[in-house]
Amino acid sequence: MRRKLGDIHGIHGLKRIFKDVKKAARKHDQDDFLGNVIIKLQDLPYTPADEWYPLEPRTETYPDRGQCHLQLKIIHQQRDTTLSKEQAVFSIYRRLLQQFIQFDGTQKQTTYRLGETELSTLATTILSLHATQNDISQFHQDLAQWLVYSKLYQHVQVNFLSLLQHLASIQYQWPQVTLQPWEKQELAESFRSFLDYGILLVQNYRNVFPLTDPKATDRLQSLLRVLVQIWKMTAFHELCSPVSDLQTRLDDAIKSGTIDSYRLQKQELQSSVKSEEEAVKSLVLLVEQLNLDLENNRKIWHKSFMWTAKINLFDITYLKLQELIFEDIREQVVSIGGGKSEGTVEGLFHLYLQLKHLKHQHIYFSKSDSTLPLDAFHTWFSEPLPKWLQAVYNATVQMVHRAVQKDQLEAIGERTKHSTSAVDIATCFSKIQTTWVQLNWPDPEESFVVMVKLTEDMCNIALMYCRLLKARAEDLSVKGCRATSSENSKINSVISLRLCVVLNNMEQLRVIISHLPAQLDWEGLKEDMTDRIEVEQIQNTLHTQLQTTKSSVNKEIKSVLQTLAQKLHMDIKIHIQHLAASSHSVPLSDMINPLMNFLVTEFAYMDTNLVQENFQSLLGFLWMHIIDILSTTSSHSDVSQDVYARLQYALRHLVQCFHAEGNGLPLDQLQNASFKALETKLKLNAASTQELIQKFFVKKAEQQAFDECSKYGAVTIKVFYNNQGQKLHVEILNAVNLIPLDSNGTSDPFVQLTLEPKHIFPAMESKTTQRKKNELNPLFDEIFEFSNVTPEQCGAEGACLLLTVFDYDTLVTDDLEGEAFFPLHNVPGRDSSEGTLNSTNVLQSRLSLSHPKPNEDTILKLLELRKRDKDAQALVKIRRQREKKSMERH
Amino acid sequence: MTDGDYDYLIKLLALGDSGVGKTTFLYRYTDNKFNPKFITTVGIDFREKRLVYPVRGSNNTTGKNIKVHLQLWDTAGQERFRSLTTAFFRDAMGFLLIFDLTSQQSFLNVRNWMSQLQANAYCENPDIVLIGNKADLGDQREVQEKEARELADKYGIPYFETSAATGSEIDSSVVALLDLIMKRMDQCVDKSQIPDSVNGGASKKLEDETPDENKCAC
Repeated sequence: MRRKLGDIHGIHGLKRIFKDVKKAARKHDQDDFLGNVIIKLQDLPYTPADEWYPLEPRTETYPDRGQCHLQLKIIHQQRDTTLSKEQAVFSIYRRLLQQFIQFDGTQKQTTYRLGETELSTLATTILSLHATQNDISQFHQDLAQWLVYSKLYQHVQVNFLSLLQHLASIQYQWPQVTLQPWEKQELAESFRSFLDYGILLVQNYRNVFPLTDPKATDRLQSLLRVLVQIWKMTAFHELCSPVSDLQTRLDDAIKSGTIDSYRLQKQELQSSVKSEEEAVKSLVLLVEQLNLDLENNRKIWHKSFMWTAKINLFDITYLKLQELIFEDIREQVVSIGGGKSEGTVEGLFHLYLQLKHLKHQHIYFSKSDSTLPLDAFHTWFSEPLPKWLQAVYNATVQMVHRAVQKDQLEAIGERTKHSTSAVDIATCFSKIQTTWVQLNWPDPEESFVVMVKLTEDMCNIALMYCRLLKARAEDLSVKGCRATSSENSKINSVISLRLCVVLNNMEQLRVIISHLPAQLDWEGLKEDMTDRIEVEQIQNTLHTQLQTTKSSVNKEIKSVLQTLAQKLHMDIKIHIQHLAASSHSVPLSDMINPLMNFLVTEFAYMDTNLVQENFQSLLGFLWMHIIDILSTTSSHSDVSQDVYARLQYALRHLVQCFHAEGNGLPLDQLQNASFKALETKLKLNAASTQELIQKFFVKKAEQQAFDECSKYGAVTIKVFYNNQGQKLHVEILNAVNLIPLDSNGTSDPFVQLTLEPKHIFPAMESKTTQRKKNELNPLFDEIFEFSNVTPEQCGAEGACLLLTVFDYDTLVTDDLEGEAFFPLHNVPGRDSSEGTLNSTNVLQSRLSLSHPKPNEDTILKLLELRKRDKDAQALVKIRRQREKKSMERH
Repeated sequence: MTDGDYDYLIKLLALGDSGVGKTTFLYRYTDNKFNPKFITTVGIDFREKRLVYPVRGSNNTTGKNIKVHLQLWDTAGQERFRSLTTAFFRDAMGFLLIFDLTSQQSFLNVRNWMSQLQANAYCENPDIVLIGNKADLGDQREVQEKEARELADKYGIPYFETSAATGSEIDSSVVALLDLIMKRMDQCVDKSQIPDSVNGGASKKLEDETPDENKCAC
């Protein structure tokens, strides 16, 4: 009985107990009545009471009935939930809530935007009053809110944050409350259905939370937070006991969502596909959309998933899409092969680029070093690859053709001396370069082959461009001829101008192709190919190939330059001929004016219209030509000394003209071997007879100085000049090793002394020594003096003492033993400061004897031509006689 | 070597299975040397040679020498480069189709190479010379001259048995190919019948026609 009493809860319970006590008291056979405690309701304590109450008897027979210990407490909030009445109250609350929300929702649809699910103040007041009046606990209020809102969610857009509040509240109070089975069931059901629905939304996140809706991300995030919250709740785990975790479920949802979206997009794109070309195009669009989808996933949705549920959305979708593409597209691409139509080939290239872009997103993949299905996607395209290269080449060839076709070969501007097609050709090359960059073929060795092919293509295009340019220039000329019948010179100048532009275009091309190695980064390629491909192979296939092309372009440039130079050749030739033929009375400077004016005008024109490099080359060609014309002109036999003088004068001015104070050709290029030969020739021809004779002796004296060989013997002499006496003192000491000229094996030598040239020493007689009979090493020891010789005479150019050793013959003219030349400009004693000399303080000189070589001396030949000149003929006669006796002829 | 002093720029291409000796063939031809070591050509290689080609006077023309700049493309025989190297077929004017006399398989594959050529060269019947290489290895021979010659006859192309090791017949096989090309160029008035690159070298002809005063005497 005591125990029972201790367990009593609530007034009703107490009452029942007392009833039981009463009942028991009535049945005497079981319990005896002990006494009762009667507490009037108004006496019930508000504060919990813990007191002993006297048990009162029913009768007065046994008044002392003892005491009963009671703890009294009024609990008015907590009710016995088993009562059906309770359930009704809760239901009413829920329905009210539901009604209010729906009412507010319809109101708001008109006034506000949907989605704000805060209840109106009125509704909130009514609900809270209802809750208070019916003693609905906070937990039940939250529970009701959760149940209502979580259901509503499927129809109206709900503020998830309030859901979170309710869930948090349920979670917080969960340990303290006891729920009825139907409540548990309902809560579990709400969890499940919300989860299912939420996950369904997640699966369709692309459509449910579209990027077009600015609030979609927020909603996605809060939905995910609710899902995460549910999964954290004890109630959820107790009531639903989930088998998998949230991560797995979301993962699966995203994957199947991705598959759905892939299939849907594909279906949409391929619905109208008929041909192979269209099929490829649809694939391009598909992958393009997938790329966009991936990008959106990465940039926008990914964060929501990561921050709330720690789900790597990008990884999941990226991997799934790669798998889908691998399974689905690979076969299609491989079956297409190279592609039949141009459109397919092009489409495949775009598909390749899109897939490449997709593969490139690998860098955002969290496990970037892992292998993925599309890692080797490029192998699907090994068939179309050569076709792409071909297509690019074809397109470029067409571009070049068009560019040249519409080119009028007129310089673009003052500074830009090439025409439009040269700009276009640069575009063509950069187009190929762009293809290379776009392609970026992953296999390094195949990539190398691609580079070699592109280089070959570019080389072909360069040469083709040269060819087309020339044809175009010709084309325009022919047309120009027909169109205008104006004077020839005008047409000619137009043609020249066009050729200039052609040249400048080719020069521009040369510049472009010489930049190719840098632009295509051949160095980088070489580095990438280390250990794969020999340096030599790269050198051969790329550099050598390009080099050959460069030299071919150079050849083209050269040929056009020559054509251009040829146009000027005729005029130059005519001018030079005029110069040679003009009258003696005209001053030299006037004579060359026409030629100079012509050249200056032409040079100015070419300088304006040609780029520097080609202008220089043109000058080079012209210079070679001018030297040529001058040489030819000066080789005519009837050319007078005067004409030579003119030509010499002209040549001097031409050098200046071509050099142009350093702006033209450099001097060392101008003064080349043929120039020097011409210059010498002109100089000699233009010289007076006396000058020539002097030069003749200078040369002889020079030869003497170098002549070490003495196969004709030598003569030893002493020479000095007596300044005071104006005398030249000569001692002939001896001669040695003379050659035997007589039949007896010896000779009868004597020495003849003359001062040369004759015009320097006029009226100076020659002197001779005595004859020595039968002697090859004669000792003369004879002294001669030439009087009235001035130091100036000795210092004159070519002044020398000529020693001729003869072999005396009685019957015929004397034979020549040999001759020696002693130059007088340095003769001892000529300088008066040296004091008076005598034979004791002068060193003896040993001079080798020589024989002249017949018909060899150019000066002598020149002199020979001057038939009317006595001096010339006199020297020639003596020399020729001597040459006849020379033993050098053999 | 690098000056543009030549009359014709001619591109030839060697093809055939891996290991038949394309590289050694060309090496022997250009440098007259033999490298017995087998090094697989990666992708594509390139060699050049200058030569003077004597034109045999056809009717009354006297023999004239043409300076030829030969560009020789050496392709990889390996399967993995096969599709890519066909890209080079387009610009070549003549082909040295090489097989290994000591390998029946390489000879059988000649048919495949022929169809590749017909599909990818500048025209359907390009100038080709069939070459059985490694003729020096008589004891290992698997392909008989008769059957090779029959095949060549079937295609209407010349056949040579060469040895890069000894140098035998190497030059004459290339010259035979050059003969074919020269003949074709002579016959082709319409230059479009020849790959573009040929005309690049044949600028001499064009030079004579360049706009000049004699053209504009009208």
